[in-house]
Amino acid sequence: MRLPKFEYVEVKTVQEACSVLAERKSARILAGGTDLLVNMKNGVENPLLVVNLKNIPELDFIQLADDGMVVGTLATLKKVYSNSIIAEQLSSLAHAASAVGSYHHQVMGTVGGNICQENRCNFLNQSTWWRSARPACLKLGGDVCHVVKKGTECFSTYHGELAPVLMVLGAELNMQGHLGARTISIESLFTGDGKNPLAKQPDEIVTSVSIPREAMQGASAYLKYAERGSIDFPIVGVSVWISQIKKEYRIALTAVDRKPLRARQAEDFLRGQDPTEKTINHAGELCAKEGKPVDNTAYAPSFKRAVMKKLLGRAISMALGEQSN
Amino acid sequence: MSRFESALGRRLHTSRAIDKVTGALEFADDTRLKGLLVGHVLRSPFPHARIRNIDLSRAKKIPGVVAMITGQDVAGRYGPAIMDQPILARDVVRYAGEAVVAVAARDEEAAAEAINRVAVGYEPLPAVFDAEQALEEGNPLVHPELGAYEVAPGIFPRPGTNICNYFRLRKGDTDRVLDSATHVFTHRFATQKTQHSSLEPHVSTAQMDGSRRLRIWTNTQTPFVTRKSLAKALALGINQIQVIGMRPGGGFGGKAYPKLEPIAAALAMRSGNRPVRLVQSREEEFCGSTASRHPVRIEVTSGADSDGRIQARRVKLLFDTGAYADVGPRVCRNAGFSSPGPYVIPHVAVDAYCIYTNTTPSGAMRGFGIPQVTWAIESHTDMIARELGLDSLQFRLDHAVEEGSLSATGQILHSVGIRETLKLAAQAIALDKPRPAGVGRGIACGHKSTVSPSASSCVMRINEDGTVQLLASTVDMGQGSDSILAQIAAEELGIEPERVVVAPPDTDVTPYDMATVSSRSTFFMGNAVRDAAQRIKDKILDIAQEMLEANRHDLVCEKGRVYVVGSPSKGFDLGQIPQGESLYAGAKQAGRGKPLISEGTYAAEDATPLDRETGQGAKPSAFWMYFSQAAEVWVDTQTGFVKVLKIASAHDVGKAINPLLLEGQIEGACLMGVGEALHEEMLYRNGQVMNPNFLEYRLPTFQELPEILPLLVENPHRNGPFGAKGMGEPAQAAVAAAIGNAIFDAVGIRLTSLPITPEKVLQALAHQKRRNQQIRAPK
Repeated sequence: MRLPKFEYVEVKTVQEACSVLAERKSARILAGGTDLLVNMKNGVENPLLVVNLKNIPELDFIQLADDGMVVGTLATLKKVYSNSIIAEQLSSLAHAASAVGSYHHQVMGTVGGNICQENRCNFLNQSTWWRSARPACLKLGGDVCHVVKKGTECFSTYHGELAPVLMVLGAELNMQGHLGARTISIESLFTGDGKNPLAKQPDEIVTSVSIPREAMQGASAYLKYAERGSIDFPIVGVSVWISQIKKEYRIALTAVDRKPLRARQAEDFLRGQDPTEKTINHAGELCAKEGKPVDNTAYAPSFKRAVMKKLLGRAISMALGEQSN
Repeated sequence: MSRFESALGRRLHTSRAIDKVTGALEFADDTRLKGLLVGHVLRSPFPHARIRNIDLSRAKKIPGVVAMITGQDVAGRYGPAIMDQPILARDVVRYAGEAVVAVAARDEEAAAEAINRVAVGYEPLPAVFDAEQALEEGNPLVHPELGAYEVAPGIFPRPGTNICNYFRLRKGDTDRVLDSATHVFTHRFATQKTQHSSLEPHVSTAQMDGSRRLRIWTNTQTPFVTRKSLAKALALGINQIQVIGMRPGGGFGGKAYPKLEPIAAALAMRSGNRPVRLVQSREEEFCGSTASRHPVRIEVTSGADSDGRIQARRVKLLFDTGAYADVGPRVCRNAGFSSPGPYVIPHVAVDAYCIYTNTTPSGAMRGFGIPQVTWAIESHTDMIARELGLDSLQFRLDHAVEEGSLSATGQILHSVGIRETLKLAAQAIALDKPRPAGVGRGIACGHKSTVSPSASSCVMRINEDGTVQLLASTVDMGQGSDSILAQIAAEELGIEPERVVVAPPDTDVTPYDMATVSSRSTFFMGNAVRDAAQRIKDKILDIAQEMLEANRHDLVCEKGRVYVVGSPSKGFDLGQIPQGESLYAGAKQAGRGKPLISEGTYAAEDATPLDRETGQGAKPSAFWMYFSQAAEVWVDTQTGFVKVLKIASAHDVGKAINPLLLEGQIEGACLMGVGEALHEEMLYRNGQVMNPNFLEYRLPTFQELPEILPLLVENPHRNGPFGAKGMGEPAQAAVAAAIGNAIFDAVGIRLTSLPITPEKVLQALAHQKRRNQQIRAPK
């Protein structure tokens, strides 16, 4: 399969990128390309213009500042998990970065690209020829959903693996647009609408991620459940962050909904409690209820829920076990 | 002088292996040809539809388009068992992925754009996707014209139904014995559709030359079958076609029998004298001109007497062969007569049906139906042993065939090493030793026949320097046949195997060989090579006895020389043999000898067909391969995740000509077996493959590689070259059953359908929990 024809620009500065994006609203941003180029080959995305950010050197960095860790959007996944401070003090993030796809994805894929990756659905991520057997779905401008019969919204599922970790770490995204900069919590980037999953203006770029120092004092973990040890997207991914002093828990899941999901009910239930088998099991049950998996992967929603129930406990012990080391 | 080392048993790999790994080998897509055109194929996205119209007018306007063809342009049909397959769909498409239009253009862009501009009007038809449903009356017929097709001997389709072959075996009085048996066990099993997933896709390049001969470069496993099929489909004489076999980057049966070749040839016939190349995308490897492993539904009933001895077995098999028969009817027959298992059972009945559905064709894949029936029979065997409270290894040993046993078809068996393989595998996996919680061990065994009758031939030449050229049409696709054949030739001639060069197949040059399938090459071509080597040795000895003035019986060929036994100095190097032109050796040798060339042939002359009513026959297979595999697994009961820790794989190979290559086969096949046991499945929705890519079709990666213990048993076959048999297919065949049995051993759940996904494991565990609660609950 070959890429369709498109215009291509390499920008040298963030400002230049934003002004190009402001002018050409249908343009798409290229960083590692591991998501975008596959989608373009499949005709799932058909941008007329591709803006390559790779030549903006100031976006490729990892820096420990007074108030926390800042990771540039162009830092590759490999760079993230190879960074010794991240590996030691934010091991959940290192773990998530090293869990993505295969090694090839990790050397090409970037932090920004991983966070902003497109939602997935097995009726969508197919070739143009394959999809021609059915009418266009909601995601591609049609008016049917092939997954949820009579569905009027797109249920494509978010599968990114950094986002749930960054959510429990309380990370913020630094965004730059044509007309200015803003900082948002990572949670507010995700709309929960499968058709337009990102709450981001067309001219906006995620330039870096800030992880507060407070996060580095808690215990955290990311646990991926997938069939194989490499290549796969998660069947379910769960991240936890625990402050043992405050008995506070933050839980986020991926691959179970249209966005990376904070499991608030489970968090509320666990707050102030000790992690016993009983409390964890109940929290796992709550987790399983919060996600909205649909039948758009090879795995049945009921199976995903069954896994969600069990993973939370493991992630919690992984986080706590790590801290006690 | 160091002792001469026999060529047999040497762990030799050829430079070809390194060439493949480094990419230096010329693969089918690497051939540079002048004026090469790029071919593309438009395929139907619908599983069953009438083609109302095809509009090529917009496509033909694309600059650079040289030829465009539809089903209306190509009349012929082909098929190795039933001639049911058109080169391009005519009037009707029968599976999503069937070729409808083909184009040849000057470059990739023009070809792709032309295909984009073709407009095909389809009228969707009711389709049938399930083999059981396809048997029910009133469901759509995939081939209403079945009665009009040409059918190969030994294949029995039922026109007016979706049954494209029915195989029946009757030995003894199965019904009566089952009725009166003390214990009767019936179990049902299912297997899934899988893909060979060779890294290299199908590639075919075709060209007509000035004298209207068709030349085709293709990575096929079956150069001669392909030549014959093309002749029939394109109405050409066999001698008008030259098939040049490019060494495949993986075969596993997927490159057996015509796939892309007929389309490439049809395009070439309309492209002047320019060559046209077709390369399948990965998606097309799954849904296009391809064939997968048959999904099979299996029902087995066994009756045992009060001693726990199995007296009768009835097997019913439904093979889903998809929209075109391909070689499915033969897979069904082969699996049918082997399905009772490698056991002595007095009364046996088998009914095997090969069934059309509107899905991607199924065909040959490593084991030719045997992995599917082995999954069923060996799970069933374990279930019986456990229900009778017997040790599953001993239960197998008590029933296993041995030298002189009668097979289900009435064949007197020879070279039967199954017991040794069972014991070795059991010991290596520590089958009866204590195990940690969540860990289990299981064993399974099996047998496989080889295609018979079949024939091989080769030509051997001694070069001027005493090196050897071997012309053989065996396709080395990674199994290492070039090395094996070189070793056999070298052993017979007393030279180093490195001195033998094996030419790749070319039907204009290398002599006839049935095909590189069915684990047959070591045995059949090996015998032909040995025959050729013996004949050329005779010629060498003819000259040597004159030149050395010695008695022929006192001469030996060894260390690259021919000499008088006991006096190595009285002799000469093979490179010194005069071949009709030797002047340097002085007047005495001038003009002596002739070019040294020989032929070698082999055929299983005593092979017999099987009776249509009873499936009985004295020799349906020239040899039988026996194997046992044992697995150790760990099961995560919370998530259903299964990790295969270790596999011991034991094989009766007759004679291990090259242990390194045998181990290579075993290791690759074990991982392939893990894939089919736990991960791989072509998932369908409305006849469309949902996962036609390596992201969603889950081949095992090296992360899933268990520890593998290869074990070899040498039980020489009287007709094998130096006693050797095959083993490429058996290496995988019992892996899934061993894993299934190990899972039962670990956590007490019995999975009956493949693949054993975490989801099925969790369901089975939940079911087990409910059942245990019911048992414990007071009345």
